[in-house]
Amino acid sequence: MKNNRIWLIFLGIGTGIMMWNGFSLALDATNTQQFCTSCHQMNIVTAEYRQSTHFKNSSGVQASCADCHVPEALLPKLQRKLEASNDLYHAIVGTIDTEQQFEARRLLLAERVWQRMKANDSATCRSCHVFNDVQLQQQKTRARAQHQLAIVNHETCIDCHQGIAHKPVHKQQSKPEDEDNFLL
Amino acid sequence: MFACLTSGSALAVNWDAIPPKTVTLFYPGQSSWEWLLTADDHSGSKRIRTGKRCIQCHEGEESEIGTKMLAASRAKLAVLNNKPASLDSSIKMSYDAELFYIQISWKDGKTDGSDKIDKDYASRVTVMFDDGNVTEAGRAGCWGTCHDDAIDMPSADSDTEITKYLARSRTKLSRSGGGEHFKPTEELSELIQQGMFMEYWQARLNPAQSPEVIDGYILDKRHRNQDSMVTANAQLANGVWTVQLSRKRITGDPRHKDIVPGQTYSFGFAIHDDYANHRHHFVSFRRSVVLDEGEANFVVQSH
Repeated sequence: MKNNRIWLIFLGIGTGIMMWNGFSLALDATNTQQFCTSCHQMNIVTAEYRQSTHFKNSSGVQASCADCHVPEALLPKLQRKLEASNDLYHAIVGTIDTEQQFEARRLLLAERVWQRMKANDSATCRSCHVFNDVQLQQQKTRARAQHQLAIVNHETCIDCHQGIAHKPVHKQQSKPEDEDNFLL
Repeated sequence: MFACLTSGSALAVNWDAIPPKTVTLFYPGQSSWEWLLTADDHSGSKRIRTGKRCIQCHEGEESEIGTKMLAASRAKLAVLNNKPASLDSSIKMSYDAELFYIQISWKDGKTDGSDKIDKDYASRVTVMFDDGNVTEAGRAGCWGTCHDDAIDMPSADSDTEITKYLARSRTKLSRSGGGEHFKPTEELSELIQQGMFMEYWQARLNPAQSPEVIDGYILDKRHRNQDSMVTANAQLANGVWTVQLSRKRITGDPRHKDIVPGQTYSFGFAIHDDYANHRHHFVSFRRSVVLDEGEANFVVQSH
């Protein structure tokens, strides 16, 4: 009887490890560049990303889709995966099937990304860009001044760095009434 | 060649005892106030709208910006051949019980008479300032007066000659400026009483001639006061212009701002060199000025 219990415990642990590894492998598989860009809806943003400094740069270091769009910590990562499963539904019903449909919804989609990044204090940016390790003195005057201001004002990366890997649609955010208001 | 000429009283300042500050002026192309505030044109528009000053992002980038503007504007403006993108000026200020003084020096551009856009003056130096009433002057200096529909600007109407103005002089403004949507005369008069204008001094220069002085202000347009309270000296020595401007610190006239300790002023400088006019000038970012003590680009001491 005692031996059976021990075997059951080992079996449980072994099954748990196998399930976790399987789950982890599945998570990793959905984090690959190949997976992210496998749908035709991603063709436009993929092409833009490939022209950006996060893909093409002098250092040879690349940030993949998931590096920017999926948090590294487990719980936020799981939350993001759950949210992203909604994309499957829209892929099936064809919400965004053409370039025109994508462009029509693009700003909305981008704003959702920015909201998420703002809410988590640009966690994915900070997984590579550690603010405390940034040597402000080595930056150009403009960058140094802006980063100093950002620290004082508790701003986060995405407050300024929108549109750096894809089309800068944040420029479309300006409402007409703002643009017409040239009186400060 | 040496010439020392004056249009007014001699200036009793020992300029040698005052340390100069270098202010780099640059070619601004056709970047108007509306351009600065439009996100599609200027990525810093949001920053300007929320209170940042141009110089907070762009200090030290004057030459780089001037080069870009020069390239971008070539198709639109008749730019002088081989015009540099920026120009260093050396500026000193002083004051005494009665007067405020400013001296500006810069290396003269080529003055061989070729490519004269302005037929009348070899050079012009302009000082524009506000005492805190004009919000846009605090953010962007001269740009607060430079609108998209002014002479030689992208939205200029060939039938209407619009000079510099402030947004508050218009009933409405769009991306292309405020045009002739003037506020009523009574409202404009009230704005002057409130100090809602930028004071404008200019010395128009030719070698071996007395400078012509403009003492004016900018609200609905660039006004020239009938009786100038500003005096100017100008010297051209070894290819360097040195111009001194002064006026009474307290005039009692509503079209002049009192220049007193305890107040922070926003100054902008412009130089039209080499027979340039209108947009073909070099301009500075806004510089802060205080008398006696305080935090500012220029902390001016009395003599």
